[in-house]
Amino acid sequence: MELEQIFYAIAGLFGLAAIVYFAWEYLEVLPRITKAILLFALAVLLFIAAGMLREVKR
Amino acid sequence: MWWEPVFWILLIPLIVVEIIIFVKTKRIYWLIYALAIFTYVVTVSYTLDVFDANRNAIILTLIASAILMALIGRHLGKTHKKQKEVSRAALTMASILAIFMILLFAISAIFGQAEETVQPVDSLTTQEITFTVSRDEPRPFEQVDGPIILVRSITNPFVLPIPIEQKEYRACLVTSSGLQEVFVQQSYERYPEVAPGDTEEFNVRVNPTGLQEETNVTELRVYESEEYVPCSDRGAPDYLIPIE
Repeated sequence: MELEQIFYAIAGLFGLAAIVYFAWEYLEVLPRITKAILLFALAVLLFIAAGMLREVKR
Repeated sequence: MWWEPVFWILLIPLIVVEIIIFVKTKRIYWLIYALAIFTYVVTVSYTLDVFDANRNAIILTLIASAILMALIGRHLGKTHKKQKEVSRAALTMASILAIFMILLFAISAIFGQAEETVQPVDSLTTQEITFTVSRDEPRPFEQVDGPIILVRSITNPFVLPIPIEQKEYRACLVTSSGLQEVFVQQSYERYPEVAPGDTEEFNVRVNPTGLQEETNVTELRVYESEEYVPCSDRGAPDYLIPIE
């Protein structure tokens, strides 16, 4: 593993921590139905993003 | 709330899998697919848990998820000829989804505010809030439905449900022998929310407190406070209820 990849991985972990903390602090005020809709939309968005990245790789 | 342990239990293997996938394949999109699957599993767990889904709903959701994943796998296995059009459609859909998520969050957070009024009762009687105890026969603590001291009325003017913020209250009884801490009761449902256009009322009660005979009580001081502070150190109360 190259040195830069370690830093990319750490950057990813920090990004994940930021997202989790944001969700914990700011999404608490939202009702259950809104949270469920946002979660589902996020899952769909990630699937689409992965598909687009896969097309770029081809 | 079992969805939270599911989240944490799956998160560690996810991070491990992501690292292994990236080291072996160097393909970022595999990482995003793994993250998408994790997010979907959390979505399903959260929805089934917070809406108290019955067993039929759980079975249907699991079957639908199995079919969905199989269809996605079949779709990914095919080679698409018109890649540019597919990419353009995917980009449009992703953009619309992202904008929708941001708008939904912003509108809910900014405009989804409940209107709340807290009304204390006009007065309480000595019999409601106290009972006599003797030094020789102390009465053990028991949880009873004590008198109502405050009524929280929460109105939702928004188009979506609004979660209710649970507030902590402390109460101090002013007696002839000094200030006495009184136990405040509140009970809420598991995920208390007010439906759109609805008004919900929540009662705040106190547990009756035992006092020696011939102890007079004059008023009940109520504080909106999460932190415990002895009655003797508290300042002006938020609500004052006279006792007759």
